[in-house]
Formats: sequence, C-alpha cells, structure tokens
Amino acid sequence: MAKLVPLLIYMAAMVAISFYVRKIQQGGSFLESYFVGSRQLGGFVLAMTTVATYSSVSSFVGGPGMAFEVGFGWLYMAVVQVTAVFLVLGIFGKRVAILARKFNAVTVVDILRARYKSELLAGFGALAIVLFFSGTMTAQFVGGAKLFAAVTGYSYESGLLLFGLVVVIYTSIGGFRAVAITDTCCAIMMMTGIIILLHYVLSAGGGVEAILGKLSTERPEMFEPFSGGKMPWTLYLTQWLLVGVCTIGLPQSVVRGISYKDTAGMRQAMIIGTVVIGFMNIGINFVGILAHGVLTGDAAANGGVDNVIPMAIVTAVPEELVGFAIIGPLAASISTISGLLIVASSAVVKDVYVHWKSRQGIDVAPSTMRHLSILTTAAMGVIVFIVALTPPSLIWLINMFAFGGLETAFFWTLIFGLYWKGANKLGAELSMIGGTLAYCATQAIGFKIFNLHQITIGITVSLLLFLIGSYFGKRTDEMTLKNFFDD
Amino acid sequence: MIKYIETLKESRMTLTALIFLIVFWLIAGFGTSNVDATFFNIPLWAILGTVGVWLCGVIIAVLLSRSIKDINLDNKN
Repeated sequence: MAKLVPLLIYMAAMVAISFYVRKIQQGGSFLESYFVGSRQLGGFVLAMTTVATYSSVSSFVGGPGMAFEVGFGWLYMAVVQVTAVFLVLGIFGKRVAILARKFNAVTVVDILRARYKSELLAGFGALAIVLFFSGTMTAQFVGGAKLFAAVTGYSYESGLLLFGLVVVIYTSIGGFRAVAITDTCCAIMMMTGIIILLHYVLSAGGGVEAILGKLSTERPEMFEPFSGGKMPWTLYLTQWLLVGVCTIGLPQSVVRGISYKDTAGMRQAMIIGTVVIGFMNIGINFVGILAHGVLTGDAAANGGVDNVIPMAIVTAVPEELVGFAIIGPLAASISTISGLLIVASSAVVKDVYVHWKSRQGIDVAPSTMRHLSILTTAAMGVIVFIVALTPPSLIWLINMFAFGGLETAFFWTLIFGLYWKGANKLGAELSMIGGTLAYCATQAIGFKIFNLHQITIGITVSLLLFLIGSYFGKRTDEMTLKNFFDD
Repeated sequence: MIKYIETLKESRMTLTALIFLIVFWLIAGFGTSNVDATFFNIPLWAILGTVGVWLCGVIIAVLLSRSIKDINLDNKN
C-alpha cells in the first residue's frame, strides 16, 4: 500500500484542483466557462494541455514497447509528432479564435454549423465526436488500468476504479479550465516520469554505450531505418498522415484554439508545445530501446509490447519509487481522457441539446445548463468506465481507428470551411459523411491500397467528395461569406 | 478582410514550414543512413533523424511564432 501513496496524493490533488477551479469560476456564460475556460488560457497552459491531451497512454506504453521490438526506426517515425502543436496552432489557432469570438462558438461544431448552415453536418459531426472519442477513452482507461495492475500488483479493476473515477469526477466538476490545469500537471509528471525511468534504466543497464553496444551485436537490424523490414515505407507514410499532418483536424486539438486568451499566448504555446512534445516522444521511445539493458528476450518474452514499460519500471526502478514512476504514464492516460470527455460532453450539451432547444425558441436556464453539463460529463465518463470493466482487446488499434475516423471527418471540412470561399454545404456534408463511412467500411472489411492504413482512403474519398459537392452544390450565401471572410 | 488575409498568409507559412520539416526529416534520417558513424553507439542517422528533427521543429516553431502578428481577437458580430 505504501507504494501507492504518491499516486493517491497526486489523484487527490487533481480532484482538489477541480473543486478550486469551480469555486473561483464566476461571471460570464456558464457554457463558455465550463467548455472553453472562458477563453482565458495563457501560453504555457495552452501548450501543456494541447500536448497532454494529444499524448495518450499509447504514447507511453504501446509506443515504447514497439521501440523495444523495432529499434531506432520506431523513434524516427515517432518524431514526426513534433509537428502536432505548431501545425494546429499555426493553421487554425488564430482563425478559430477569431471566428469563435465572432459567433460565440464554444465547440468546433458550432463553427462548422455557422459556416455551412447544415444541421445534418453538425449532427453527424457531434455523433462522430461522441463515438470516436468513446473508443479512444475506453482505450485510455484499459491501457492505464493494465499498466497499474502490472506495476503495482493490484487488480485491474482497482486501478480502473482509482484513476478512472478520479478523472471523471475532476472533469465533471471543474470543466475545461480544470482539465487544462490538471493537464499541465500531467504533462509535467509525464516528463518527470520519463527522466526517472531513463535514469534508472541507464543505471541498471550500465549506460547508453554498454546497452546499445550489446544490442547492435545481437540485433543489428534495430539500428537501420527499415528495421529489417519491420518499418516499411508505407508505415512511415501513413504515420506522417495519421499522427503528423492530419492531426490538425482533430477536434480536441482545434478546440484549444477557442480557449486561449491572446495571440501572444498562442505564439508562446507553439514553441513550448514543440519542445515538450519532442522531448516526450524521443525520451519515452528511447527508454523503450534502452529497456534491453534491463530486460531479456524480445517483447513476447516479456508479456507482449504493452508490457515492456511496466516490466522496465518494476525491474529498474527502486520499489519505494515505483508509485512515483507510474504517475507519468497514468498522467498520459487521465489527461487524454479528461480532454476528450469535456469535448464529447460539449458535443452532447451544446451541439445537440442547447441547439435543439434554441430551434424551438426555448432558452435553457443557466441552472439547468449547469446541472446538465456536469451530469452529461459524468454520465459519459461512467459509461466508458463500465465498458472498460470488460476490456476489449486490440487497444492500440481502437485508438488508431478513432484517430483516423476523426481526422477523416473533420480535416477537409475545417480546412476548406475556414480558408476557401468556394466550400459549400453539399461538399462539406458529402465529405464528412462519405469519407467517414468509406473509412469505417474499409476498416471493417480490412481493405487496403498498397498496404497503406485506411486513413489514406478516408482522407482521399473525403477530399474528392468535397470537391465534387462544392462544384455541383449551391454557393454559400453572401452574408455567411461576408461574416466568415470579411474581418 | 485584413484579419482573414493575415491568417491565410500565416497558415501558408506554416504549411511551407511543414514541407521544409518533411524534407529535413527525409535527408536527416534516410539520407544519412549509409554513413557509418555512431555516437555512444547510436547511429548518426538516428541522432539527426530524431533529435535533429526535433531541434529543427523547435527552430521552425520559434520562427513561426515571431512571424505571426499579434492582433485583437475580439470582433463581435
């Protein structure tokens, strides 16, 4: 029990932050405050919350496990994620911030609804967010609880109960601002966790030179970019799309553009975020390779790819520090869950319920809005929590499937909608719905072209349908174009 | 219109930076993979293709950050 103390203190601190944030929240619109933190995030917190939401338990467990198996080729592929922060803020950061203020938008769907004037598009967008986010959140719950069980020796269910309920509670109570602040704490703990693990793995293995010298003799292919065929060019290409270029279409990243205070903060976040995300990706995957210094055999001999980092923690880190060392990977899990949970909740409350009431000419009372938002966030968290109690297999695939689905749905509708006057309702509807369906269908039947991940099919179909729809569809009305492009 | 044109220009700049980073990534990693040099037993291509790309990304982020103009985001409709 003693080794759990640091983790318990950390979790208690997260809940305390949410209560404090709720207490100091006052004035202004509740929805704006609860779902985008009243647009008051500074540069440091903006950078940390963007990175922490983006970096999931897969980045901390599955990824380095693959690096253990594959070698430096995996590290070379993972580093493409250094683009994630400067790309989304550079392309959408300022534009989304201006439009959100102009239209009082609280969600990404709000902006798309204002741009395309399509209920179908808004409804499908909200549905895509809820479904794909639920998949990703389940993967985070399962990954975090498995890690907890492997490292501490306690049951999977107790791990799930501990951090699963904590994240649901603090997100429901504190809303977006609590998510942003706790994300910042999580990002700091993730970096600390990497440093601790790196230190002890190096100490136990005899240093970088000794570990890699032995490894280069035993497994020379791990020192080649194609890793003896384990890292084909098709994998590099699809990863550039999936975790590089197309990440700008992820609603959980774009919504950060709605939440910051001023452009000086955004500019600062671009730099801090790029430094942090690069450190995390290189650091943790390098630890995965160096784990050969403390573990024997391949990943299978250590219980599989997902078990490499837990095994490395147990083997290399002194017992009294184990409870501290697992905070990092668990922080990756809870920060992603909280970031997704608040956006999924906003999709249900703001994009569906409040909009539906508004169409009926009914204003939802602030107290109803408050209770509904908190209850929806809690209910969605609990549902995903229950699904995670009977863990589905192939967590890594669920995560990547959800990533690709969101990117297919939102990538072109956002880019064209915000930067191309010729983009219209029909093009956006066809693109989002057709592209997503094509992506899901090809995933379901396992169809691939040149063995590339189905994101290539989804994103291509989505692009073609957008262009076809925009060519044949009715041009967007002048008033909307004026509102969007004359500022 | 001015704000739109400004953000369009900045997003094009970001896109150009991305293309530059992709080219750098290709050259730094694949481009040097035949060079037989190591540092602490880490192959040169792996250092340039990871830490090198990261540093390049940070420099790009700094340059972009300096190029993006500060504006008033509020413009109620």
